[in-house]
Amino acid sequence: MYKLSMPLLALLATFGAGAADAQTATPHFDNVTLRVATFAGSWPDLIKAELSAPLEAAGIKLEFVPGTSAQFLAKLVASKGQAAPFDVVEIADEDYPDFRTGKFIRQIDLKQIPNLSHLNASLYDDYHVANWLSEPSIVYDVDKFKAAGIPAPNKFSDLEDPRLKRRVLVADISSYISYYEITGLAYENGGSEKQPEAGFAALKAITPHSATSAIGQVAQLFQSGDIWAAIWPAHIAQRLAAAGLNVSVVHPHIQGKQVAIARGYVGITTNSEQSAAAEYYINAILAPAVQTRFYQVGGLTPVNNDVLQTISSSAALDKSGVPFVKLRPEDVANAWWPDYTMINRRDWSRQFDRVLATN
Amino acid sequence: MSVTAPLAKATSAQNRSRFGVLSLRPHIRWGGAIGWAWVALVLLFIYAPTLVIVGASVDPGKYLANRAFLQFPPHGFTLHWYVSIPPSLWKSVWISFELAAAVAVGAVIVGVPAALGLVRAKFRGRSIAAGIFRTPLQIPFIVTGIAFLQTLQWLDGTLGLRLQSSFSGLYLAHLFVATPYVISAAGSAIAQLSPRLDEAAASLGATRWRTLWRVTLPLILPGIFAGAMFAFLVSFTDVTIAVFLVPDDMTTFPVWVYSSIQNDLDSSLPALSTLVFLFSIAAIILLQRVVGLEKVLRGSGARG
Repeated sequence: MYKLSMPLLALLATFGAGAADAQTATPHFDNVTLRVATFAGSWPDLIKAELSAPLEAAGIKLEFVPGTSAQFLAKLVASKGQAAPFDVVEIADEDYPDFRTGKFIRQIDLKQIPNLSHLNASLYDDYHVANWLSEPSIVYDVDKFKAAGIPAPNKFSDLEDPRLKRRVLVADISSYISYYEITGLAYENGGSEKQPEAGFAALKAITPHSATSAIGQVAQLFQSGDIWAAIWPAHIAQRLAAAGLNVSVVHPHIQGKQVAIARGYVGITTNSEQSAAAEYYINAILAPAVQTRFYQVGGLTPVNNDVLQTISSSAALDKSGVPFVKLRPEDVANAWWPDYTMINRRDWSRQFDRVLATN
Repeated sequence: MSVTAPLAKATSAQNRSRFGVLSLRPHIRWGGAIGWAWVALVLLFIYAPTLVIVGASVDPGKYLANRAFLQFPPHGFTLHWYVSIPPSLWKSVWISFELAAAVAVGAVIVGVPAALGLVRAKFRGRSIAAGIFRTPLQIPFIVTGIAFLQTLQWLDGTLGLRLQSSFSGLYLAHLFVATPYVISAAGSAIAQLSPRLDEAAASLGATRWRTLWRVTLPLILPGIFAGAMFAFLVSFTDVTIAVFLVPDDMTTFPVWVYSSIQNDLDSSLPALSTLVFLFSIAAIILLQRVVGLEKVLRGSGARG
């Protein structure tokens, strides 16, 4: 009878134990540092609170590079051909074409991100995955509109009402929201992304109070009564309502679709040496707990359909019982957004500045 | 007393000075009141935004959570926002303070010798050199930020010197823009000094180093101090350069504030801003008690 030596027995035992463990174990990384380029401020705290512990248990230490999508693009341009300054990068919708054209992001192994099965197919592809959504819409003060005898708006062009002169806040061209307001106004007036002139003409006709990219300013102007309406993501209405203002939200229909969706993506940089850890991170950020936290703290619409299903029944409502934010998976699936490949951003900036300068 | 009485008294013979110029002393009573009122208005203009921040920092907010809207005048009183300042925000203040202090020191070390050379030395191209030293002030900060981003990346690629996304890289960029302030302030102070003081020191046996250390530097200390203060402020408040060069896992306080206003509404920001303001006031008071601001601002030695 063949007698197994102790070392071989030990090896077999280890292999057997390892094989059994492999079926249930999470991937383990060898104490890698994953650099995540994302928003500054309290956003990294939010992610850390949810993900630091489980990722460290998997051998990944998170390090955050603060900034915006445009700043990350600048850093990638500066470091072209060299080691990537970060591994995972937050990509704004409007910047995605530049990230692709410059080959700054690599293909993602989608099989490593099982949580994608909970996302609508329009929210990801081989190069980027959406991790949060917002809903550009019209937020308006119901009491002010009623007092002035102005009917509730249904579309962006309704803000051209002369009684709303200098009472409407629009998003600045530096903000992604501006592409929605111009595209929306363009389509409502016979134009499109390729022919936005009608949109700029309508923007001029609105005679806005001002343009901003700062949520703080939107909140303060509503509270002070200086503005009665704003073209802004719907989630701010929840916070304004919680602060005592009687606000409501309108999601204008554009090209037969009701909800406007702005998508915040994550991608993996081309020269990253931690793509496996990056894919693990992306999967983790799509998990229900994190997505729920994004909604609870930041008011952002989750991308995970299961979370959408859960929270849609408890969505915050305005005084007439209408939800501020569209949270049903079918709403997200039937959303519209500008076609950024058809937008000449430099030209749009110039036209926008001209409209504001002659306001 | 009638309105015209002060004017009559002012123009009377006894109030004319020895050169026949009208004395203003009787006007001080009227001028004093107007002067104080003007000073009060100017102070209000300067400090009104700070007072709004301080007031809003104690407002309970209409929605007591970390995302409340704060109001001014406050509709109540709470210190809740002070105790709920997140650790990351404290860290960002400390990073900004460290950086600004280091920049102020570095700018003095680099700027004072440069100022001495520009004012005292005689060489061809001195005015061109002076212009070159002023150039950082004329370049928009966003251009400086991008230029440093590219340069630091190039240094990493060619020399393996990793300075981008580091404290050192941001420090160098801030030093670049802050040093001209020290050169300008110290240079003005040096220009006002009489060279005869140096000659007198030399004639009494002092070496050039001793003259510099015991005579020149104490006399130009107000200029150095003013320049250092500007350098500190330029670094502490910078957003434009920092957004490109901010180190990994570190955010400077201004970048944190800017990002919060753009993307979020952290209610603890007014509280921390108030604490930073109070710290500045405390620092000035401490400086006055320990060193004597007047001594620093006026200099500790004789002027030429």
